[in-house]
Amino acid sequence: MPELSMGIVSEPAWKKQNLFVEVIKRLSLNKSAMAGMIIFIFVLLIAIFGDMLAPQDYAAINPSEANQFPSSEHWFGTDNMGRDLLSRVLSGCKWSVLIGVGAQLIACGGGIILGCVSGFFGGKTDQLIMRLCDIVQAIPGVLLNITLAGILGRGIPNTILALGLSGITGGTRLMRSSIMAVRKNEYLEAASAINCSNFRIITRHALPNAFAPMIVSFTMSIGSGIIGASALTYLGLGVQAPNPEWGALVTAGRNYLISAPYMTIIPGLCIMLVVLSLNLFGDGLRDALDPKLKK
Amino acid sequence: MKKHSALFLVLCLTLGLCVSCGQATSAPSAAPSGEAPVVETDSAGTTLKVALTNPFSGTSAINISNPYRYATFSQVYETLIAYEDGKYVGILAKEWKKLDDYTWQVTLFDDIKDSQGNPFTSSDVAWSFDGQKTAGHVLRIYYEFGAVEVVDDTTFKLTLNTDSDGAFYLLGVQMLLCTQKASDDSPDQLATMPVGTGPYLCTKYVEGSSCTLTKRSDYWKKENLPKASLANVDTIEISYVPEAVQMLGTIVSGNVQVAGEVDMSISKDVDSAPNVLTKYISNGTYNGLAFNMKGRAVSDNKALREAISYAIDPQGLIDAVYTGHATIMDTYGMATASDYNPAWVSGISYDPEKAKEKLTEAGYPDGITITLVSNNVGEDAQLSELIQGYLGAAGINCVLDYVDPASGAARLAEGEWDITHSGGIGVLDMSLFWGNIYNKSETDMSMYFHNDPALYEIYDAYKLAGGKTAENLQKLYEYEYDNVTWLPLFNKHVFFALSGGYKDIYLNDCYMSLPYLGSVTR
Amino acid sequence: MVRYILKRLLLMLPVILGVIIVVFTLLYISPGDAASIILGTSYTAESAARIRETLGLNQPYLVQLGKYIFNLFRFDFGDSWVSGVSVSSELITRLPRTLLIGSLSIVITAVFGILLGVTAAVNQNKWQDSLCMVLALLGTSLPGFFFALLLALVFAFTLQWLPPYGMGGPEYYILPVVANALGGVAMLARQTRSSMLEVIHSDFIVMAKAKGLRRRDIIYRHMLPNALIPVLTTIGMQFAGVLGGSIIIETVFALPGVGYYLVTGCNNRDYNVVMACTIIISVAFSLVMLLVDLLMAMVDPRIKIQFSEVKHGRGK
Repeated sequence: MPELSMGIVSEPAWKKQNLFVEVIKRLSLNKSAMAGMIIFIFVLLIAIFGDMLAPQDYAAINPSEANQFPSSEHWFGTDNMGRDLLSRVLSGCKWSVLIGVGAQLIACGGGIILGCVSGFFGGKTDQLIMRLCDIVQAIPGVLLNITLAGILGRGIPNTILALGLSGITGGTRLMRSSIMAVRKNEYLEAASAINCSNFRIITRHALPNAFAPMIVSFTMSIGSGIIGASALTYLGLGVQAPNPEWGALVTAGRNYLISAPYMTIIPGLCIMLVVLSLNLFGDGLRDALDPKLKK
Repeated sequence: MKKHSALFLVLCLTLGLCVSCGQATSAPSAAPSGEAPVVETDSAGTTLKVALTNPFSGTSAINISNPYRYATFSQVYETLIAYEDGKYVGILAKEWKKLDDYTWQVTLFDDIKDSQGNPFTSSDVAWSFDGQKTAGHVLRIYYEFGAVEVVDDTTFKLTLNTDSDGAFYLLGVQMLLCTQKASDDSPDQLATMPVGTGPYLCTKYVEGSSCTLTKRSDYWKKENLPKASLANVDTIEISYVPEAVQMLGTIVSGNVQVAGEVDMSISKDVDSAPNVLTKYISNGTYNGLAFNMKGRAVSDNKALREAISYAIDPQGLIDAVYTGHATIMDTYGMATASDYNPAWVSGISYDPEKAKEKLTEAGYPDGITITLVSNNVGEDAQLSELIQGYLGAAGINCVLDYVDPASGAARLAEGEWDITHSGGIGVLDMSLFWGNIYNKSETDMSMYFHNDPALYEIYDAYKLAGGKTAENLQKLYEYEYDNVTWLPLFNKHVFFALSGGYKDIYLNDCYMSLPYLGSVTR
Repeated sequence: MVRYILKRLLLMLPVILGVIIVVFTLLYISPGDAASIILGTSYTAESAARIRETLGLNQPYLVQLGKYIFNLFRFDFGDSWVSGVSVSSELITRLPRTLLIGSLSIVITAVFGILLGVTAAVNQNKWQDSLCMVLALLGTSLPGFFFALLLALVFAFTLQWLPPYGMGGPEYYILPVVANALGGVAMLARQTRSSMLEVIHSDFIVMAKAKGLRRRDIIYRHMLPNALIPVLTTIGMQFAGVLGGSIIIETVFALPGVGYYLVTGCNNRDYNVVMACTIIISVAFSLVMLLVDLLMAMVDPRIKIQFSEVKHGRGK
């Protein structure tokens, strides 16, 4: 996987500290990455404080104020049950972020473990893990999610689990290829020459040097997790109403796309904004981590 | 050089893949699925384009609990009778009479033939009814069916488990019938291509997408056609459009002349569309809320049931979910029932203050948590959210337990719930209404776990032959009024959009106001 | 090369077998009793027992699995539990539609993705770059069904240029294909851009520039083929996305393909349908991935060598 063998892997390990500073410095020069980061921090703040900021209870129905267009009283309007959409969007933020981040933690965590084992040991272990990956990857993600959702039941934790589990194979492949790329380096041979345990070699030497693509992938995939969750909800298998997760808001409002477009457009834009910010930041991070591109 | 040729190869392969797939597609999709007979149609004939919301699986006459198949196939298969202009008229049945409490004798027309020329006789009726026994997903009313006894080719005796006339008529109006020969001749028992005795012939059916019906030139019935047998257009092209926005687009752009089963959420947009006529009609269903009557907080606590009942505003549900197109149901029973009495009021109306009082009276001044089991899709899910909101405002914390429709009945049977949506169709007489609520299942309780001996003393007396007296009905009503085990909420409407000069369409009043598409008139 | 292809084909068999076993097991342990699903409202203990008997659901897991796999060899996926229609015959009519949408989407993805990516890369940090990347970013940031609905709204509802749903002539495929390709185009554009950028700074490009080759020749003869390997992988992976996306797109546009069939099957808990659709989609995907791998081996012989090295365990 040549695209993944980033320049960082040839950096000697002792430059690690400097490299971190260097990456931050490069990142801060990248305007779009900084914009992405600021937006995402903003989103994170909303995720944490959204419930407090919400002017109303997100589940409080009020039929007398149903179907109102955005106004000074209801900034984002109200839905067909008279619920304040601003409150729903603010309260829903944490669920969307939680799904995206949670699913990626599972996917990357599993991917790192399996990928390290597979890439480092090679041979039969590698073959076994890769063939298992082949099998699971041969089942398209949405389908795997549907099946898993059927077994686990619906709801936020299960959606996270379903999205995370089906992402493990991708993480595994990514990690494996970057581990394989660093495996031939001399400092690993040196480490094994001084009788380091395999575990120590992997965690202390191989992993830190092969970690960059994983960070980038983690950042970028949070967005696809959020989008995946909304697709599941659309198919009736993801988050269950009245939870105001953004994908659920888009799904719930889609019948009113013409009479009350704000019901879908606003949460849709919110999803877009988060994913966009993460992509911008991830792009910048990748550029910053890759000295070759920054000549 | 190698890289160059590889690039070329990529292009070739992609193109090849594309072209081969394109060719592969054109062959099978051009041929209709199943064995469609080729029909010569008049090229100048009229074509009616129809959009319906709900796709379905399978085309067999048997196994028909999905009412949405009926809108399509009531033109291909036929029923024994139809309900028109306030009276029952025969379609396949020439005449019928009640022999005793449970038995009806029916005489068929003697020249009925299906589109493959097979004669339709009494034995086909028996075969159709018996076939349901082994098929799943049958009509609810089918459980009142006992047996069919063939007398001769055109006469049979139908025995029911109830002496309710309504049950007979409901079976007669809802059960689609076909000949055994056609089913046996079909490679898959008519699962992909229906063959029936109706005025139209299915010429193309693509599951989940479209269906084309063509007028039969050899329809067996020539004169005195009931509206259900009308074939006013030569060809009917039905598309199934599940997304409401797509449906709206297709209505407004004039792509279709009839749109049915339209989602109420777009009704205002359709109303304001130019050249589109909208018709709102009660669809003969009722919706309510049932309480779990065994071992739950609500079971032995009438005040709590009342608190829940007073906390919910049916008008709020109607406005939010049906954009106002439903009527509040404030009595037990419906005006469609022949023995209905409008004095049977529920005595409950939306009153949040009273709900709080009742909650205190019930012994839960600080609130209580209850569970609502509901389908996780569509209207039921929305209604549940609203009910949760209303109950929350009254101090009752309502947990939503969503199940997918396929496992809903199983979840109810587990009994771990307090309230659930409860509704039904086709209340031709009150025994059908009370039966839906009180009828015992295998567990010797009703599906809502009614097990009160006092209730079953009244109900069993009512259920017996000859027990359907006004007096017994009054007792049932009084029991329900005193105990509040079932909360009536509303009667839904459906709406149709007509355009292209079409003004009216005949609807099956006994079956969710589903349309007879061929009866459309300008 | 022939041996390599044969070897890969043989290696595909266990993958497909694995998929069958995984899916069968997942559905075997998932909740929901087949008999109660088939019977629906007419459930009684007696008829449920009869149904289980006829379907062989009383038999042990391994026997059921064995029977299922045996039937697969005869292309018999059983009957739909809900409609009683043979699943195989449904699949035969539906699969071409899904594959058509899939291949058209992938072609559009490849063409537009590479074009956008190359444009962005050769104009790095200029306005073209920004425009392409903003488009690509927007593409990855929208939920697919939302974009599909917006497309339907604009082109079928407001402008009334294209049919909003169903099947028919070629015009019926335009909206679904475009909607389905969007995510892929965006992803591929970004991948192309970054691998082009990697190549752009290589010595041989500097060399080519120094030799005074024409800009277009440099881009299309030297840069693109070298940047193509990761792009090809991405295209292969996109096929999974496109097939998965078809589940959603077919639902939005009411196109009776395998994806739509699958969603209906899931909602009805019609597990025979779910299993068959999963297996068919997985086999299709495996074949495409094989094709991509073969292409890559052709483009870059190193991969072939690497493959056989790992195979024989000679790599560390």
